[in-house]
Amino acid sequence: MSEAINSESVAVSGSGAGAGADEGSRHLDEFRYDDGIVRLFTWATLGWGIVAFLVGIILAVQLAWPKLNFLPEIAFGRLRPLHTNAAIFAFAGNAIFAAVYYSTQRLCKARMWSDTLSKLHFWGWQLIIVSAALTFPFGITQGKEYAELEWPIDLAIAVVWVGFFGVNFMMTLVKRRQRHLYVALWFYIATIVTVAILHVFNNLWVPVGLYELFTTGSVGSIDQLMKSYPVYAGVQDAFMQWWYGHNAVAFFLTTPFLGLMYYFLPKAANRPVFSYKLSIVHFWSLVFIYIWAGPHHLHYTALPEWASSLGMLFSLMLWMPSWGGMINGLLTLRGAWHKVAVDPVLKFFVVGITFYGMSTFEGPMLSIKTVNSLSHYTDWTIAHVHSGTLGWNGFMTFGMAYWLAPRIFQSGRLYSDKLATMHFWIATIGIAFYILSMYAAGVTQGLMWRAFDANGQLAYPSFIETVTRLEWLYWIRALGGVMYLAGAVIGLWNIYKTWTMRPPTYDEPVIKAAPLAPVFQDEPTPQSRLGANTNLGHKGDVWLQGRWHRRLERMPLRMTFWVIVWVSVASLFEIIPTFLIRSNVPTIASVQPYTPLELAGRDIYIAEGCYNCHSQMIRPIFSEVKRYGEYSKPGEFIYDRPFQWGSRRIGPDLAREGGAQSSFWHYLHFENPRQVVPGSIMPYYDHLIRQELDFGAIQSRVNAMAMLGVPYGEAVTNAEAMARAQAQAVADEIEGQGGPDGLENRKVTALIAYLQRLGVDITKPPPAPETTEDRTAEPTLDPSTMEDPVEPGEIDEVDRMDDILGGPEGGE
Amino acid sequence: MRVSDVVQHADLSIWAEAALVLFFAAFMVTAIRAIRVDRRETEAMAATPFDDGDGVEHERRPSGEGASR
Repeated sequence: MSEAINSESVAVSGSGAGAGADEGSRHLDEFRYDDGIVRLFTWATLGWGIVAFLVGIILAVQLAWPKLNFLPEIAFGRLRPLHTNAAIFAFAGNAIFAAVYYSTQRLCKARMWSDTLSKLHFWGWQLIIVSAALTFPFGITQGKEYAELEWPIDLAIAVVWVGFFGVNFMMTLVKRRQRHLYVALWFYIATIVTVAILHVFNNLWVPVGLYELFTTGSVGSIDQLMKSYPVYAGVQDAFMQWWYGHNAVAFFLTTPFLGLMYYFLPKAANRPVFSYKLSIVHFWSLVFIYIWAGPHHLHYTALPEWASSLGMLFSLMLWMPSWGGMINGLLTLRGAWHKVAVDPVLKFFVVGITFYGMSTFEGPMLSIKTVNSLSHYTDWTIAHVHSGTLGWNGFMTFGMAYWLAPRIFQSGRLYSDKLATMHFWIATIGIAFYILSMYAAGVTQGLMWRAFDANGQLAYPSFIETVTRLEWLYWIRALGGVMYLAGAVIGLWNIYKTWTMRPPTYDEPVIKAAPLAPVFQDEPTPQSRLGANTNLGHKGDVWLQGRWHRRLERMPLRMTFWVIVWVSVASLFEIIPTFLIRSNVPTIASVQPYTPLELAGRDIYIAEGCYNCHSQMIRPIFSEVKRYGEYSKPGEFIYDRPFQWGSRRIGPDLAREGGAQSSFWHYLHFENPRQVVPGSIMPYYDHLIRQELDFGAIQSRVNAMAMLGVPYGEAVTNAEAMARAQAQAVADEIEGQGGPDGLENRKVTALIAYLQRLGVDITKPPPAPETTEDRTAEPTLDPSTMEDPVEPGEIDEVDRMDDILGGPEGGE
Repeated sequence: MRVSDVVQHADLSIWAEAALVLFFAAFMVTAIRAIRVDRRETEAMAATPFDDGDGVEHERRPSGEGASR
């Protein structure tokens, strides 16, 4: 593990404020930096970036030209998680690792603690990405945005992130030769610690396959082995997911890139960061505030009002530290702007930081409830996300790659500054095309959804009107994506050509640095400057002089501890009340578990990625209630594992889909959406009509749910027979309505059974205790109960939720 | 008695306000620390990325600019 290759005794003088080596006469260690691992991560960044952008373009074209969904494996619902995961965890993730491995070694004056862990980290991470690419197209997903990877891959992520990356990083800090921890390292610490916490607590699940293996001794299929259900349900699952989802943006796409900015921007500009004081405030404010903001993703949903408001408030506060960081970055170039005109690296950094400022202005703005009522579920959010990912993360990554390439490949210079500049302009214009078209699409959607005519009726009652209106904007979006991809290809070519200029063997210069003294002679504790005062006053004055923080900056483990405390306190302030105050999720007596067939249908819904286009959450906003029906209540989702509220509406909300259409209509819709909804951009799902349902897998899934506390009653022993009986009833109904026969063993039947169940329980009287058995034996498809939506007040719990949500008129 | 029974009766209605107070206190502590730090110290800290053995001298800002803030 020791990287020192030699040592010699010399007299080392201290460097004042502690930025350099320790004082004293000691020997110098000789060591070499490991740039091989940086080269690997840089190549992976560029390669996966091309994949992520290419898949994004395919998705954009699919929205404008749905015939491109010609294979189930590349249909929009299955491909979108591949795109988001590739962009976040493959492209941005590898960029983070390249930045961390390059800068940490130099900021610590130490080679990474273990070359073996570095390599395990690299290859383990690439294996995880490949696993994602191999599972998503086949519908193996947990159905939670940005956390879609199934449980075996989740475990691998935990091992690679914590066991390989985290341990290697922390041990490098422990073995460093630079006493002071530069601010970039603080951001890396926060990233590693917080992402680990988020990942672990959002991915607590019961693996169905393992459960089946332990109880029966075998597993039926790969699908079954990989399948899992989260331990959280409904509102609590939604809260945990967006606690994770928002903070994945914060601690995977923001803090490590800020660390990158604080290291690579000064290096590229050859000037120290504008204000180190501001960076201190930036760091602690960001770490403390970010973690609270997640609930702003759930405004006007069934999440308790207090959590939503708290999320909004902290999101607004987040604006200040974010802009503090942006200003600190841009002002680092004060007096050096002439360099930006000629240096493509600085061009990328300047525009990247500017996009950071734009995104962190827009984010708080979108968290304001009244703005959110318009923007949520629309393409506005997609524009926001892409200005952050393509603009902030993408441009910082490419800037770093261009700066790194001549150094890690030892070519002396970049192959072509002109090509890099061309990349910069093509990508900048591409982003502009992309996000402006999506802003236009988002605002158009939002305004059309809420528009009323002079008679007080919805101006666009048919959802498809709001879809077809956007087609030309989707083409512009695709064009913007093509330009961004073209820029990335040029970048890859440029860096490849730089690589070809490398020497026959890489030179690994020997670095000399003094090890840290075992015992650090800190400066004496300052004296109180107060005259006559109380003892407490003297102590306060000493504390205010700030030496305690100065010490903290030299102690990586203590710094890590306080980051954990910060993040945990903020998380627990929201999590404890959400989980432990029962009135936050009042139950509704008539809401019962899904039948075994409906559960199987729900799993198909998740596997096909329907949540990527359809929400299941009617907000208490007049236009939504008018369009979709009674607004959603928290108690309706207590058996939803995972929740499927969604975050966008490329298609209409499905929360009250049960009984809205006949089962035969659904059959035709899945066969070819355009034969019942002309102009629809939904993919074909005719494969569900051909594929047989695995009835044998249902029992284990029901049992796994029962283990989580779902009251399944007789279904725990008789799920398959109950599912077959309901499937026969649904198939007969479709045949009776003019459809084909023989659908009783097809996947489409289960999916239709699930859709016909959505949102209907609230209209029914509370069942007798044996109802699970009754309802599963006799499918609940009685239209008479579905046509009479419940009036608020008929159910006690609904009244209580009205109090919490402030009634159905909110937001309009 | 379950944990939720305790929390149910703990009157957590002020948690949101408590969160703001907590943040404000933490922010003030951080800001005080940042404001009071010695200028020479911040200059040395800000120069850390340039002390990596690559042999490249970085530009120093004129007095009163940049890292001295």
